[in-house]
Amino acid sequence: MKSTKVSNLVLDILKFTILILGAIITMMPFVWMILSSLKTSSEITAIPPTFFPKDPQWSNYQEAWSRAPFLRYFVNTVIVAVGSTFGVLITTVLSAFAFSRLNFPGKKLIFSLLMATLMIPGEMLVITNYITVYNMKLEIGETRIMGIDSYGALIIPWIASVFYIYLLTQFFMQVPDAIYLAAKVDKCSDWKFMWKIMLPMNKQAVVTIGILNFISSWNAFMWPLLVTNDPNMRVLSNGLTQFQSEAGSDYQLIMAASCILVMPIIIIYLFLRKYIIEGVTRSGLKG
Amino acid sequence: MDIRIENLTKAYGDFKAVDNMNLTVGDGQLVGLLGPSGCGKSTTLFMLAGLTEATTGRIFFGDKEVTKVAPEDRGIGLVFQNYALYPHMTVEDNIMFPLINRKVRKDAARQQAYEMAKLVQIENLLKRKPSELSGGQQQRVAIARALVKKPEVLLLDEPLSNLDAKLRVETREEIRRIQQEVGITTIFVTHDQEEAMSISDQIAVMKSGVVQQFDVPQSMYLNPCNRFVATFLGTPEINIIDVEVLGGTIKCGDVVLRTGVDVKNGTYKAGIRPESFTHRENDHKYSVNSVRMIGRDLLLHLDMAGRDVRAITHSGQSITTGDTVEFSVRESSIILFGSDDKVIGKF
Repeated sequence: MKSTKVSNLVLDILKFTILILGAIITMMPFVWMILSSLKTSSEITAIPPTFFPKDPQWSNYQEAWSRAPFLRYFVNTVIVAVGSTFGVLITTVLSAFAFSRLNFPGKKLIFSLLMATLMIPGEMLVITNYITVYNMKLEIGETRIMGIDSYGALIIPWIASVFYIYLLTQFFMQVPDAIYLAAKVDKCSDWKFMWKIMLPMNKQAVVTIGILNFISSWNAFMWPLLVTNDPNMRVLSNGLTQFQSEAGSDYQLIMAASCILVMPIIIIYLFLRKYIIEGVTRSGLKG
Repeated sequence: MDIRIENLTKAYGDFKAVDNMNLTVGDGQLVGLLGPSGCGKSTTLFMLAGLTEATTGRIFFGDKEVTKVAPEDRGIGLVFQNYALYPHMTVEDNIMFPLINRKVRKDAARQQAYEMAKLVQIENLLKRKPSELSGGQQQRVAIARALVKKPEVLLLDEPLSNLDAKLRVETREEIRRIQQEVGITTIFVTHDQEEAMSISDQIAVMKSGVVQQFDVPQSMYLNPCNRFVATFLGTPEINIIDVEVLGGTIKCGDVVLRTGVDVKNGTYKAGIRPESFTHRENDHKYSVNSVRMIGRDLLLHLDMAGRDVRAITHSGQSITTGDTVEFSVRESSIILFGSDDKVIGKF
């Protein structure tokens, strides 16, 4: 009796040590980013490095904010992230429903072709996508819908994700046939079934996909940099490059800007934590 | 509304799940489709529901042919084996769902859902989610949802198989009560013969896609048409033994079971229900191989010319293994089967 208590205690200590170690390893880059954002330029490159800034430089934030049109970047980022997430949700839900419930000729072939595209590395798609976008200049009046320096170029290539379609199809397929048949007998059309039953039953999966897509869109760097020349069309992550010059980088300002960049995501995460955790554990997916 | 099934066949390639079925169910009847798994009973039910398309044959509800009518337009209520309730909706929303889809106004739908809930006695559970209900309660919700749109035909697929033994008996009485109260023509599928016999007006026993016999429970039990029906109905199972008829005497080995019967000489299979054995002085002596207590009755395993036969006798007697008992077989309860397993007669 006593020995099991002792061994339980040892087990607990071991368990929590590992958890704490894991937490420190994960948290460290963030903590380092925040601390570095408060250092002076000489302190940040000092050897040996200091952990805590000697004299916190809050003015770094002010300077970082003023170096680039961050407000404009912020608005652009929100438009792009919201737009692409909205698009991804619609295409994902519709195609997942079709693949899981509807019968049409060539269903298996189309699904296999989609799955095959998962094998193509993203870097390869960047070039072809760039050429497509470059050649697809479309303007209505003064507003550019598509082409270089347009929201279309930033959003439209990202409004469908084969991986999310695959994921949601698996979720939809777990809904028992009997529920579909019961709804049929209850005079429920396919369209209504999708919105009234399939979607609410898989709410967590859909929300998770939305959040994950929002985060990856928020953090996107290379594509926005490629398809925009006009600083007014850039997004937040591009703003970080403003602090790199030929004379060297202002690391403390990059860190301050990074803190600004991740803030909205952290806030979103805090609000939707419940959904993310449930969704991720249920789907066996990590962000 | 009466249901008429004419030459109904469902084929999957060469395999016939339902083979040329003919059946007429009277208005307001409760009919059980009974058979082992894979006999085509659920396929039949789903064809009646319109969820499975018939290969050939026709289905009539009343005078109207519904063979090609979509499930939602057939006027049926369907209850699935696992209930198929919508997990994200409350009980009330579940019951209202068929009405809302039929463009019934919300307050009217709510009222009708309440009345239905009252009929199946779940009116105090309306605000709960299906996951917060027991199996029996979920079953009631499913029945309420099936009945709320006032269908003419109620179809139940293995309605009791997901419930535990005690609840099963309770719920089957409940299904009977609701069916009687609404007066709706009902067809239900089951593999449990006791369940089918206890609540059905009539039973259709199926095997390999073919209806073997369609009759009221009692006469089906007493007068099975073939060996399959005789074996499928009744617990403990009927004894099937090899007998020889010679000069009007039915013998199993050296045991004379009956004399003076009018059957051609030859060897036959004979069925004797365990409860057909009755004590009689100076009749054949059987040695008792084992005794088991099954509540009100004793189940004896007897030795009949080297074969093991089951016999039931009331539990008031003290019989133990190794005893000898004097038994005869009751009048007209030896069922003789021909070589095609059809019943020749009862002796």
